[in-house]
Amino acid sequence: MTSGVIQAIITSSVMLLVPVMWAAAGEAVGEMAGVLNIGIEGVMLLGAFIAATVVHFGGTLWEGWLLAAPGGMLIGALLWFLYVYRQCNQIVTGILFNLVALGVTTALYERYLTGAGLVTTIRSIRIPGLASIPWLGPAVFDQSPLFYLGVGACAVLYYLLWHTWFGLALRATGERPDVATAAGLSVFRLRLLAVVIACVFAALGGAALTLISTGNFGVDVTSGQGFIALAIVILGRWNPLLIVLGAWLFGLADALQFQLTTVSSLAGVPHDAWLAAPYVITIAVVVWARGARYPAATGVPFAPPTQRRPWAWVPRLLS
Amino acid sequence: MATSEDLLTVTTGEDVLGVPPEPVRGSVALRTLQLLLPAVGAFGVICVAVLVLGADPLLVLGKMISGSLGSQYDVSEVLMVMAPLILCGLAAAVPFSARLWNIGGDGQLYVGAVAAVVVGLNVGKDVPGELLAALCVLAGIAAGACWAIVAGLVKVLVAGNEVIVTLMLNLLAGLAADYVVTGPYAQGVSPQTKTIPSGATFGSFWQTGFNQAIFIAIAVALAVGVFMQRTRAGFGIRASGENLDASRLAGFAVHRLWVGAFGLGGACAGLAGALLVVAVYGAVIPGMGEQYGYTGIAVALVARLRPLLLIPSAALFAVIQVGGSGLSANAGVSPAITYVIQGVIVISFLAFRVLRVRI
Amino acid sequence: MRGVSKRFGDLQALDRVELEVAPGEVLALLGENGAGKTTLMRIAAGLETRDAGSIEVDGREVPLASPHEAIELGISMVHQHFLLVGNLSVAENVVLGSRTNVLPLSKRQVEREVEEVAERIGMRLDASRRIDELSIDERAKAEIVKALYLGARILILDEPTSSLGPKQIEDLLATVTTVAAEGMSVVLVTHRLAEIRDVSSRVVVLRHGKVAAAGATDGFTDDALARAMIGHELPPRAIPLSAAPREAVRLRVAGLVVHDHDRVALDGVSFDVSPGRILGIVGVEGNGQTELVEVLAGLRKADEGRILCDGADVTHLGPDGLHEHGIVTITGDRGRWDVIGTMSIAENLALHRIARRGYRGRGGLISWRSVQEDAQRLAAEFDIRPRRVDARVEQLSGGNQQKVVMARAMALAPRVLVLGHPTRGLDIGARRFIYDQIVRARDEGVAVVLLSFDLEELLEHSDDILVLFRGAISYQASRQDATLETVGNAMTGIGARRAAPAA
Repeated sequence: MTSGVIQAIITSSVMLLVPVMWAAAGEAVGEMAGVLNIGIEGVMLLGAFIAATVVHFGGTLWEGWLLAAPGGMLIGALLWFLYVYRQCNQIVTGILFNLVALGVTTALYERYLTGAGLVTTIRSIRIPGLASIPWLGPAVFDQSPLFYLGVGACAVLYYLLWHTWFGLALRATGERPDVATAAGLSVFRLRLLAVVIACVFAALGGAALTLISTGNFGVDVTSGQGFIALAIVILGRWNPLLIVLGAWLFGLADALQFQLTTVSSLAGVPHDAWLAAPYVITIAVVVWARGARYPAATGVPFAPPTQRRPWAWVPRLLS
Repeated sequence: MATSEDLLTVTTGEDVLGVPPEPVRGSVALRTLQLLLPAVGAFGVICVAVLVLGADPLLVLGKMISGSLGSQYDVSEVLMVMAPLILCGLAAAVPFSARLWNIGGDGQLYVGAVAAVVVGLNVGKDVPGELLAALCVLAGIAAGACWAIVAGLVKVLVAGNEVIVTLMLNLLAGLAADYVVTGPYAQGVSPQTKTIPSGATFGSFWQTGFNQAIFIAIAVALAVGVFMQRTRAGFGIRASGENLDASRLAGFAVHRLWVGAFGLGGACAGLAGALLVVAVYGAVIPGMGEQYGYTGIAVALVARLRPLLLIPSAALFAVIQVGGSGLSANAGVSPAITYVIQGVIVISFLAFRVLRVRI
Repeated sequence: MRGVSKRFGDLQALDRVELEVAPGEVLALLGENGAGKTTLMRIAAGLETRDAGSIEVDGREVPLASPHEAIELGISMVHQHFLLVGNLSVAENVVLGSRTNVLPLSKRQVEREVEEVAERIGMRLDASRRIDELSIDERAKAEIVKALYLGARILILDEPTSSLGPKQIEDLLATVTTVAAEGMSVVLVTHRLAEIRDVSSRVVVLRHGKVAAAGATDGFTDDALARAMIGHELPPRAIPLSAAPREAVRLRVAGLVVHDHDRVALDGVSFDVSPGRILGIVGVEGNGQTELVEVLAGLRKADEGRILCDGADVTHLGPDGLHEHGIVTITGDRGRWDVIGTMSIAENLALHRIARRGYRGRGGLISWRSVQEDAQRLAAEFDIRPRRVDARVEQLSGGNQQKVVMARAMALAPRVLVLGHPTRGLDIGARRFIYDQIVRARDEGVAVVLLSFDLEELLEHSDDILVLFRGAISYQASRQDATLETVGNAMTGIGARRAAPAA
């Protein structure tokens, strides 16, 4: 294997980690607050679709990426209503949400977007000086700005979770919502913020997928990246900084798949085997992380003992 | 968690994992309203989706009904779609009863189909057709069960998250199907595998288009129903879902039951895949699984995880699926809209607590 | 609090209750389990809504509809099951909820603040330790510091002593007195008469959601308070001692060692149980009782030592294997181990027999008809109400749930009955019924192991007593020789280990 191939693998591994890094970092915040968003795959898919649509109808790439954020916010509010406010089972609701997201994006794509593809992707920014470090330089310091922004966002989330009052409240909510309630915190409100953060990040990650790696939207373009993000959260032990490293492992698996098929000595290996690598690694991560403990209340709906509700009669009618 | 407030509120909600949560109070009118609200809500959301796609909701509704129930051929098609839906419903319902979230119906179906084709193409041509069909079906069942047991073992041995594992196994099974379609068994003309010998495929009854598959599926649902209700293992699976610790103390080997629940669920989905080969396509075709694995979860929830109720529930979802599949030609709407319809209906039932699933 | 009422479904939990507490005063709130004490206090802390009645603080009527509001008014509650987040530090737990902004939180600084608050009442506390690492009484203290930090002027303590030993109780009550001397109003919820004498100046007794008595503590005799709590005189009960010989051994536990993570939970425990006798094992929570029950139930592996039943080694058997040998366990943690709340009475009664391949009818399938018939018979025999055996167990009262558990255990014709806290959370009537059944089992020749935190109850019913302290046996005696004082001391490790006769 030539050094050129190795450099290409490293460089593209960093490029490929960007979408899952965004999604996993946000998901860590959601899970820390006690919400397991299996619907993350659908959120990413919708984010990717929003970006593609904006660009298709004349927006710039940056506009496409940024507009995924308000989309993620709305989706987050909807999922909060289901997961938290209505206390639906988060696993089956998430799976069904994915089904709906797949249906919506596929139908809209076939109706409005087919044939037209993005050809351009967001141009990478070269950081002078650092980019000339051998191996590492071109991989890390000559990257898409979405990568730099993502790493920065992970650092911000890390700080938010572990070093602020808000983070303390959030962590308590994910561990013992009853204690948080008794301490005067609003579990509903905290989880709303957490789910919105999780969905905005997932949507931005999905948008990044269209804008840097594939450069186009397609049916089911995320192909399980959201689910991989769920495993990265475990691998990173709910720590956004470690999640950057965890995401890189999957970027590497993806990069190998793209690059090694071009290596002649490995030509006998079927292409599907390379594609399988990230999925096999994900299962390995779940097995390996046997000691990893989800925050105690993750996935468990919480009914606050006293709930001040302006429209008290409405839920009573509904429940 | 039953809070004081829950005790006071009126509910028609039936627990998916058991009998009604609280005594139902309130007038018949109120309870009807509570059933109507989610239906109206779901209908509204679906109408908006159809409008966004630039079609007339009423036209779409009419086309869906005529496209699924309008002719003898359409009804046969519904019966053919019902079979995998019932079986994938079982693949969800059995593990869900033990509160094991097997999301892997999709993958289990595909490995079942792959196994059936591999057996069908490799076992000698001199084997009688009926025997070959039986072998294909058995291979599918075994493959689906094994695929699911992987997730069961991860759950039991290292307490891994079965949701993530089954989702990954789905993606891997998709790649396995892709491999047989493009690799050694590729037919070469269209993207599919070679077809298995015609003697091993089911014909259709009375030139209508449906065949034994639906009867096999119903028989399996009945058998699983008896298993869950009347055997020690079935009772243990249900009990472990209701209270794991109490079931252990009562003397059930819960881990063994769990692996068994995954295996039984996977066997049903594998059978669905094998039947798609033997009774419908005669080959593995990309996308043949139509998200049956995921729709099966919705089917199981609406059936409240009861195997017998899966039959009417699957019928409902099959009507939507078949009605939706013809929409692109008839109303200019992508058939993908069926996923939206199915998902939105069940989500609104969950949101309005007509259905409840406890964690 | 004036005229406070609350209904849960058909149950009138509180009926026009009046309650007042002055600054610097310790008010004892007494009552049986289920009398409504906790509900009343949860309302005061904003954790529960009330159907009627008003609440005044400093003479001003307040809505008090959320915990947040209660905290602002200076009302803090220490719950029986502490409201502390296990994986956060003491300091983090204390300051939780005081702010939710995204400003930086300096761990060092909040730890110092919290330790200063603790020192104000003469308490030494390492605020950087995680709650998981603390003992029960340290957690209780952390809860009190939390209330002080939040600027509480009214402190509610809900059965703070229920799982503490005598020494720790004394310690905690001293803290309560200190806090009250600083001008705090304290409400001490309890069902133990002894401890209110030491600290409280006034007492309110609740019975069935109504105030049954109220006044200065000195104005009541113990008997008067007990009568107010229970509603009638309780004739003292004398359970006759067993006549069965101690020499016949049914269950022998020898040198049992169990590790819980890094901790030694049981450290060389040995004892014998004879058919027709009740062996009572008492100890403060966290001293090995729970682990002992789990080992005897087959739910936890013993690291060393042996368990023999009639000479057969049953040490490493699971629950099913132990059932084969006739060893039946009730853990006392009903909702978790003993019943399946969402299943019917009949299904719960049949649970163990089905697990042992019982009730096989035609074709090897479960015969639900014979399950139903057996359930009807047991429900009548044990007076389980309602008699509808298809009712879900979670709809039953605690007493009736326990009757289901007891009926199932007896129907298995046990040779050894292991009972962990069989009357926890039950009212006096249900308690008596359960003990009658236990004594009946004893008299039929069952070897009974009875574990409880409640010393008095245990002394009343056991034939032999054994005390667990830090995972080892610190005392053993027969019922005639044991006194409240000696056993109480042994529970806290005071007094030398007595060279006792083999129990």
